[in-house]
Amino acid sequence: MKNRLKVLRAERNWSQAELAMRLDVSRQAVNAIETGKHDPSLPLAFRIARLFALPIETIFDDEQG
Amino acid sequence: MPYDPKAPTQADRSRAYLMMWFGGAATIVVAAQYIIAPASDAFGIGLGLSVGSLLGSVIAWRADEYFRSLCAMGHRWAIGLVAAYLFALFVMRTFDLSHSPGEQTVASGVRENAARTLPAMLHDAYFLCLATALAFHAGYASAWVRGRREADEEA
Repeated sequence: MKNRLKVLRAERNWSQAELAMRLDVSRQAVNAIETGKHDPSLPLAFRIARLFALPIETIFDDEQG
Repeated sequence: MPYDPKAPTQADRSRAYLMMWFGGAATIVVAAQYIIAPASDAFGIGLGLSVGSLLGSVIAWRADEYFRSLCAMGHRWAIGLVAAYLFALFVMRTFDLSHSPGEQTVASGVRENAARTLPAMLHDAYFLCLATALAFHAGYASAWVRGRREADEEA
């Protein structure tokens, strides 16, 4: 699943470690989500959406629709 | 979010990933030692690392979901190995073609089942546990590599 996490993070000048700390996950998890290696769970996707104050569908694109 | 003094730090979370790689390497060393020099007790620390990584994969409530997803793949591989081993025994016991009527009537009459004539190593619980641990680490690594490859293809 594609996502805009890296762009959103870069816009805020956050490091992966900083974003990981804000999301309560590991830096490896943030890296895996950014590179599309791992699709986040629904609770984590909501946490990401809340953190960036954006709807989930503007951050994640399932390429199905 | 309420403050939790026992909440895992970034260092704690990163340590879990690191521990898993060390555990995998230690399991390979211990398994090799078992095959090459079974009487040697040289790699006690290796066995400890291996056990630690396996326990860490099960008691992972403080780890994040990516770590748990990698461990889940490892657990699937480990259970798959156990199932394959038991299935092989089932096939050997059920469709044992090494036994012939002549053996029963002319020889001792004691049925020689293929499942009982396996190399001793395959009946050794320690070896089977090591093989299961290796399967776990192989599954963990495969999930990590596959995710990386898929990410590379998308890029």
